[in-house]
Amino acid sequence: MVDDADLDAICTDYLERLRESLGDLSAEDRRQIVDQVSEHIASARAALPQQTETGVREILKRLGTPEEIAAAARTEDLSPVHRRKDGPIVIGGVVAVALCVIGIGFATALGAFSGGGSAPNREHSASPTTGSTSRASTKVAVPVVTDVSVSTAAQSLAGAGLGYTLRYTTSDRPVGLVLQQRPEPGSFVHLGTDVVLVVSGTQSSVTVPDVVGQSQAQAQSTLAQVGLEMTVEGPVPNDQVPVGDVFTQAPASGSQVVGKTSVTVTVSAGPG
Amino acid sequence: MVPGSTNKMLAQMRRGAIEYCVLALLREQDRYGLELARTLAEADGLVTSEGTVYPLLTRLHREGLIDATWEESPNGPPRRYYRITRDGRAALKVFCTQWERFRTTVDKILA
Repeated sequence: MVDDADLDAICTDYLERLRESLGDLSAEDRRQIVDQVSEHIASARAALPQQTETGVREILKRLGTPEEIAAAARTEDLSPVHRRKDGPIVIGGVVAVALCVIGIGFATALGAFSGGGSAPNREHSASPTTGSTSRASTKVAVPVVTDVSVSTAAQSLAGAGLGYTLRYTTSDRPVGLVLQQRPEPGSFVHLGTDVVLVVSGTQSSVTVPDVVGQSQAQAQSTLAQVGLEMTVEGPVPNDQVPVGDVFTQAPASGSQVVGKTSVTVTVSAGPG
Repeated sequence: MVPGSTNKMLAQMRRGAIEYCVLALLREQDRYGLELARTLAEADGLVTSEGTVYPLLTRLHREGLIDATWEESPNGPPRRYYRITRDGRAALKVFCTQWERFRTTVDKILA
């Protein structure tokens, strides 16, 4: 049987092939398409009743081959040459938007699509007094953006003048949470650099351990180690079990559970 | 007619209309990628596979016809919701008028 890591690897491999197939596009177009497809896969996987290889392969099959997507990209004229030609029009549009929308909403709205990567560019284009030379030499500190949602991370990064790109992974943490970031917080990077955010895309299943016969405290710690919570029932009188020990549990040991699951245990009150 | 040339013909017909179908789907409500891709793939003959929607969305965003914002999802990772812009609505309106005339003309000749 394949585990969640194997399924992640199948998806990563697909995205890598897509990135290669899109080799003739500009780096930004390539990143946008790969990020959108990566998000598509994460959303579709989150909707699967179970994380199985068949389920994941079906998602990729429906997406089409990386070559099909690359062929579609070519018919959209998303080539670097075309992009340069279009550049001023886009910037003009953004300036118009900047006049209507103020503050973080602006950064977030635009940052959302571009991965925030070009938010500083846009601010520069909206304020012609800032020279492009200062952009290249300006360095900023990377903020802490782990253990928050993607939208919160996006806002913090946009505020620091940084962009981001997303990688999804399977974890037992809540979906949508940023688990890791590269570079590390506090690193100094050029303005506009993309910070890689590793996001919990789907929750992995956890095998419920056996806690029957353990003390209440031991059981709590055993369950916490695999990310499970504990609900205590009792104490209930029991002639055979020492006071304070667990004598039933639900779900039973060996069960596969997903997400923030609580295991209900019954604790002995000793002979009744 | 060989199947290959039917595909080519479909591809040519799709090419002009698909972006306005995307704009039309966004006319009443914002939608996220998976939702848009699945809706278009399920509509007969509109897209060959779900993934081909993303290069199109990238271009529409570049042209300022759509915009996107992140929103939390109740049961999955955050979603990028696509939204039609004022320019997008204007472009869709022009297309609808022209399409009506075009369709009537073609239908008349084909009949």
